[in-house]
Amino acid sequence: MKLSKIFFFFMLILLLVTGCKSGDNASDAQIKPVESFYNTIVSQQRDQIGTIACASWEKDAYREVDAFMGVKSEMKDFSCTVQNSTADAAEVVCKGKIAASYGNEITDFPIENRIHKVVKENGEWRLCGF
Amino acid sequence: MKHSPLLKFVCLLILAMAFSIVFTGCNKSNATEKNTEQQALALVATARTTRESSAQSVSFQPLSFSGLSNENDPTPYPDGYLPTLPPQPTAQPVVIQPTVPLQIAHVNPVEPTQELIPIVIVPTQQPDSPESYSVSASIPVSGQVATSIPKFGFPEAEPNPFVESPVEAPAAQPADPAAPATATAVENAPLYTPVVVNPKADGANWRTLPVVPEHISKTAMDIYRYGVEKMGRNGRFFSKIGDCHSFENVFLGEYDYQVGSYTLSDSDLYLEHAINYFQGAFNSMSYAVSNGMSAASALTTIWSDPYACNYGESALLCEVRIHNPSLIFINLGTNWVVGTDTAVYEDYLDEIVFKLIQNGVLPILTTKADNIEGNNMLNQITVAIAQKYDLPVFNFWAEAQKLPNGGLDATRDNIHLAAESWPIRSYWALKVLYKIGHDLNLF
Repeated sequence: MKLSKIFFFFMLILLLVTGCKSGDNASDAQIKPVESFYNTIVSQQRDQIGTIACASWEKDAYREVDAFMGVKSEMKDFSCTVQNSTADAAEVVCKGKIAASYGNEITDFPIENRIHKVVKENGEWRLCGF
Repeated sequence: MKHSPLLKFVCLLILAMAFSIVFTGCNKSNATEKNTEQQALALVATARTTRESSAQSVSFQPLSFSGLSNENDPTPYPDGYLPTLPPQPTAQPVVIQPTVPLQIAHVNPVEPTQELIPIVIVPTQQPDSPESYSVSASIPVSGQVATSIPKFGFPEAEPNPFVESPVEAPAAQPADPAAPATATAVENAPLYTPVVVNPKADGANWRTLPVVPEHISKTAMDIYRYGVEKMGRNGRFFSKIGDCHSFENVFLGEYDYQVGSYTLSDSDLYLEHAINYFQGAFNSMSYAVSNGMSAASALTTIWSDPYACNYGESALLCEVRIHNPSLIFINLGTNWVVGTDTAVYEDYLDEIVFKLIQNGVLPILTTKADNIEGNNMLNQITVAIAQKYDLPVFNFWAEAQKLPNGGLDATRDNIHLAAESWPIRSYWALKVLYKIGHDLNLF
């Protein structure tokens, strides 16, 4: 009987662990398009936008990437967290900045004021504006 | 029911491991958040700082001496700042370490009673980059400015672009005293509806267009008048959109009295009308000008100044809101990635022009001297958009062809303008301003 209790408790813990891990996975999935978006900006691979942005925001996403095509840029101190989320939508906020260099001059573009809207579209999380 | 001690031990071990996973897994994200909060605090303290330092090479401080008061200036400096000069209660020359040859080439008509304060502002670097600037000026206690521009080694054998048919010099005063000195945008004014005059315009004739438009279309005049009369745009203020080639020390800034480094031949004295009328605009820092600015950049919010612009406001509309211009030079196209479809540029430029017209600002589209794209398509597109909306074109490319190396700096990348080309470009842009002002009967 005692062993049954221990087994039951063990199963409960396993369930909790699974739930916690599954929450992390969802969070990662929601953050991923945002991180990919900024990586696309600095790598200037505008053709990646089709797999990152939602359909209704795709044109704007291209513009955001094109805006940095004339400069060399990199992400500095960049990290993102999920602020709010539901089954089909989430809000992601990020820390850090885009550091763009032009000649000898570096201009910082902070991104911490942005609330990135992420939505589930055709089963995949896509960035849909900020 | 008996259980072996080994079985109990295994179960307890698994339990302990499970607890361990739960706590480490969930605490990890908390630790990350704490780190990012600390990073955020650091970021707030070290926010974007380069804008003003890139635009100015001379140090600035608030105006603190009389004689150069700008109180009556229709569009004073946004921050009320002037180049650093020592206070001079009397008309004594002020010379600050001249390192390049400077001379007073021409003295504009001034009142006999006015005293001149010769001033030399020394460049902080050699004049081979947009960050450096060299001027000399004589600023009267009140009134006109007499100045000269160092020639930076521009070949004397080149045709003099400053010679035109003689024109009678105008009276040295604003010809439209009724024009408002400042203007406030009318809130919630109905937007202007852009008119597509030539939907099939292709700009194919762009190479043959004159540097200065021969006439300003009625469509263009309607935009200006609507902006000034219905939307409260400042009829005496023009602005600029562009990259480092549009910084005030590169483009047109010399015509502000407070910088005062221009030279006009006798035949060009009529241009004083435009210089007087648009005083304050020439050396104004535009929020739509930045290093590396492209057509796409001007439309995005991330390129707008976070300290001056509203959240969600593009650099373009931020400039329109803050400086409230009635005219705007669009100097774009140089920041281009070779191989990109030029249709992208067309889309963005069209959107910029459309939004400006909607907001009652008359765009002046400028062709560029470089050919970074390889087939000059960007200039053709620029002209095509201008023709589509019947807007004035400043065809600087045509003038640049008369300059050594097409006006470009061969020592850099043949993309940036040579420093010798800056004042020439500004001079022709001034003529475009005069033409527009003249046709609009502003002076």
